Amino acid sequence: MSAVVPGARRALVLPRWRPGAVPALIAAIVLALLLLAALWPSLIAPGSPTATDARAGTLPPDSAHWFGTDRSGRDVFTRVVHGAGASLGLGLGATGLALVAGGLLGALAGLAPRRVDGVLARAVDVLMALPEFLVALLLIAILGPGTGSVLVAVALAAVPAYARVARVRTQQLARSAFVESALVLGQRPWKRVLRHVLPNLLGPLLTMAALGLGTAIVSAAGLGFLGLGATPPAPEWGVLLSEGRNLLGTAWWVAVFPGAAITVSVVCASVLGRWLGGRR
Amino acid sequence: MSAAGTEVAAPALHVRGLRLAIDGVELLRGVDLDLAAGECLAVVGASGSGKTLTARALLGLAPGRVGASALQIGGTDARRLGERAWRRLRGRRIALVNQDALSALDPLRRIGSEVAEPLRIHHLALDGVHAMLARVQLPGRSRSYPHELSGGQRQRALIASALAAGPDVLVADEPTTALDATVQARILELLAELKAGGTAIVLVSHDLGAVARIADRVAVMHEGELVEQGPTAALLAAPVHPAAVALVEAAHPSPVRDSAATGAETQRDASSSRPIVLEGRGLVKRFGATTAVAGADLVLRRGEVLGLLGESGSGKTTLARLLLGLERADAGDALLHGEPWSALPERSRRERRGRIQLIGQDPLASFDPRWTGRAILGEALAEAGVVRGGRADRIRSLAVDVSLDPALLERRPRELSGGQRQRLAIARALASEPDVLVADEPVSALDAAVRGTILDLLDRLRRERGLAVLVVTHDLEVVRRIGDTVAVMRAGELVEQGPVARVLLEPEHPFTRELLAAAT
Amino acid sequence: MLVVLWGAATLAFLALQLVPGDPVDTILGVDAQVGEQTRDRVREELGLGLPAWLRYLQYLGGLLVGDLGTSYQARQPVAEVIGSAVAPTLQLAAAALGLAVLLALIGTVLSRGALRGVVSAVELVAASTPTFWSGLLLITVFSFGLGWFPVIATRDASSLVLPALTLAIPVAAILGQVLREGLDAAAAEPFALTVRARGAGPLRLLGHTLRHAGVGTLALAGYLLGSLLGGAVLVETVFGRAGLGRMVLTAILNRDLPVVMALVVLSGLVFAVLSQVADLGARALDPRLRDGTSG
Repeated sequence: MSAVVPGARRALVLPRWRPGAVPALIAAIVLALLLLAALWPSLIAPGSPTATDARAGTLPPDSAHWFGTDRSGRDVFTRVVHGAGASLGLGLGATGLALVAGGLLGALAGLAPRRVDGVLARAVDVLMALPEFLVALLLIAILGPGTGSVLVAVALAAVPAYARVARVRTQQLARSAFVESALVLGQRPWKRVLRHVLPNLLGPLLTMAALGLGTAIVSAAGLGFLGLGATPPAPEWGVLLSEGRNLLGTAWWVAVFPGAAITVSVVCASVLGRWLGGRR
Repeated sequence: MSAAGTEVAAPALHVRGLRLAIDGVELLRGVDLDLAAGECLAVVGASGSGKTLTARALLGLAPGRVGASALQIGGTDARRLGERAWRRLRGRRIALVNQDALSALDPLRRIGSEVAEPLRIHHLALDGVHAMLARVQLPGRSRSYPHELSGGQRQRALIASALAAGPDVLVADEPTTALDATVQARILELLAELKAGGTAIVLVSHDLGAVARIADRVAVMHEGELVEQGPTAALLAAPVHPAAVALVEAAHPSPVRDSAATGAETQRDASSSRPIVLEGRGLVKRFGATTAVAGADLVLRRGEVLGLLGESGSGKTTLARLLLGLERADAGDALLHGEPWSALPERSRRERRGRIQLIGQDPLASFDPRWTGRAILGEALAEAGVVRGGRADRIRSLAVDVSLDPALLERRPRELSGGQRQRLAIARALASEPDVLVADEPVSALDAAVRGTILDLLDRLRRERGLAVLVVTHDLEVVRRIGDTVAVMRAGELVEQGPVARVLLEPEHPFTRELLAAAT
Repeated sequence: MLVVLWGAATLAFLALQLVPGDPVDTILGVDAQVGEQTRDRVREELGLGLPAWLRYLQYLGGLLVGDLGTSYQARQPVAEVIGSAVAPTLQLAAAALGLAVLLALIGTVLSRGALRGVVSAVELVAASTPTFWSGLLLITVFSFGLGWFPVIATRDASSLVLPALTLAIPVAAILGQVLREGLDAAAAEPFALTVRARGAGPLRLLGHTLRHAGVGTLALAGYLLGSLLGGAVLVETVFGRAGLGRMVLTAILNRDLPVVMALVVLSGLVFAVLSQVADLGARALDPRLRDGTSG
């Protein structure tokens, strides 16, 4: 204990450059580039992702086609760049939906009278008992295949996890000494919730969302890979992978690059999420 | 074991110029220690002074870079020992009783296997385990887990595990902290017995009361240096270095106690005519099958400090929370200014919340971690009905009232020291200009030196503002120092109440006598 | 445990009710040219004409005696349909779990040394790699490239290697991370200092900390199950293996809801049993959990 005090005090006056922030910085830059690709793909890859060229079928990567071409002669690089919008959009959208829905549900349960909370808590327990991917599949079965279904399915499947964290955290906060201090000051309940409970709830949930983003991207791409999401020839990463699957023996590049794009996105989201989580 | 007795030439411990640096920051700057067999040396100092690091460095377990011009443990030069050689020394020649017995014992293992582990490591016969447990008065508990033992029992088990392999030197880091007074006394008796048996003891402590009882010599540390050393009685009676003087003064409020005692005596008649601000009538609180508070009657008058004294688990915090209206009473009432208080729904109480304020056990936890001191005080003023325009001035004057540098208000609570946090908590409590302050263990988390200043602040507020203060504490010194009246609590019941001078000088209840005996 | 099961069954039943379209279409095929009479007969056979609450009770009652309903597609009891697919998935999951534990332990041992940073980076990438991609990579390298393993699933044990490895990679990464964090956290506890102060070496200290880390790792059992089952859907598709994963996918695509429902209930059951086992394991490791009060 004694050893910690001087270091801690100095760190307050002069925040030292921490080497631990480097990976997070790199991850943030890569994610920014991927977002750029998602929002304005033509800026990076001006060609059309669906333009075929019968003379340039299954070409290996070279200077003209960085990631090679697929069987119909479509440029894989262009398709991967243009697929960022669908894949990252699904991941971000689903995560955002899950965060908001799960956060609200959990916060309400945490603040609700014990009986209501009990019912909600058990419902969440039941949903948590099922693998997230299976829940998403079940939802697809109800909603039918399609990009919109994938978004909703991935989001709803993740809701219980957010709800559980939000509920526990809300209860901890509602019982915390500083919320009690506000009560002692005579602060009204709704004001205590707005000023002290919800703002302190947001931090852990955002951290969780940063980490959950990766899972959402993978789930969405997985559903696409299974043919339950976007319909080919739309350049969604999961769909690209499933197209490349049949060419593994002859043209490895068609499957490898879209998969690498998914992995890179998820790694970056995880690094950033961990950094956010550890920093607090 | 017998080595120290026969080889007179080799002292148990001989240390010169012990230094330690972590990341280039010097945390120990030349510490000299000497210890003979059967002797007890106390290392005292404020937190952050380097006591604990010194203790760890003696076992080669300190983090960072350690250097010394001499480091002899029972005649062995430990300066150039490799990790393997150190391991042969640890537990066998020099043992550590680490801080906080609950976490210092492996919670997943039985006491017996914890005590046996040093024997296994040093390839000694395991048959001594039961005798060792009997020696620390834990016979037959070898199959218990740490969490099944009381605080005092755990501490004894930890000492037993340190002694198992028969070390010549025992380094005990805060062995009595966090224990109740009566339990502390028993642990100190055990250490005294060990000393009499020839074990050399290094006692690291911030508790000068404990030190005075068993240490032969005292070494005072300050900012990584050993600033004063000498025989216990002499050093405590006449400390020279300012740091030593501050420690001794903080721990010895005897002059204050006398004046407070006589002061309370003369005030006694006058005080009974003062108006009652807070009153508890037959308060009862049960948690499941256990009764935390069993029918408490309590009266707090204007301008008076009432010390609610009890050991941990006695129900004193629950009683305070009943009086604050933070816990619903199963029976009985708390009245504020003679009007119903605890029985009201929170909605009706809200209007008068500002009359009675709380200073919590853990000031850091009582602040929203995202907020600065300024925002915290601003919120308290807003709830007290101070209009926005007037708040800046009031925030400043509140800070000044509690002697907190207003510049510190731009910081978040975790960037403040313990004493500063407690001042901020008091400032917040004063925002609504309350009539009653309830302070739950207001100084137990603070260093001895800071403790006195916070208590003085509470005393000053009582005098200047006529505040009524209820101080919940386990520490007799707190009551002595600022209490006018005292209520002694044990197992949910108030066993004795009265003016501090009377209760402390002529205790009527046997439990009060036990408490007093344990603390002196 | 029963609540979880009942909840899963109810959820599955609700899902069934929410699915748009007439199940009879699914059974007969949308394009089937059949008269109203045939349709009614099928409806009656399956009890679809009854009110929802009655069917719900029938369904729950059936579950109690192990009747999972009849597959629309196969026109066979669901239990039989599922039974035929359990073995390959069980093989796959067991092999993957064993492999994952092995890999996680290797990672933990390696990370004790100078390779700490490398190990945690590898773990991060492994945890982030989607199985449907790592599977394809493994096929590209080891089947097409090196020709060590068959591309197409056979009855041969060698065809289990790549799928099991694919499924094991992310699980091993998570397992390794949690194990390592648990070990580090335990080593930072005050008791670790006590143990070292007794003269203990790193191996003996590991004996203490491993037990602590084990408690936290057991809490992961449910999550691991989810990863294995959810992952099986994708891995079995990638490698063209038969199994529960493929079955659930086919059932969803064909809207064969009794099969989907049964798989949901089944995974709830497995989860519930596993949680109980993990709980017992945690109690065995940590005496503080035994009295119902924590520390």
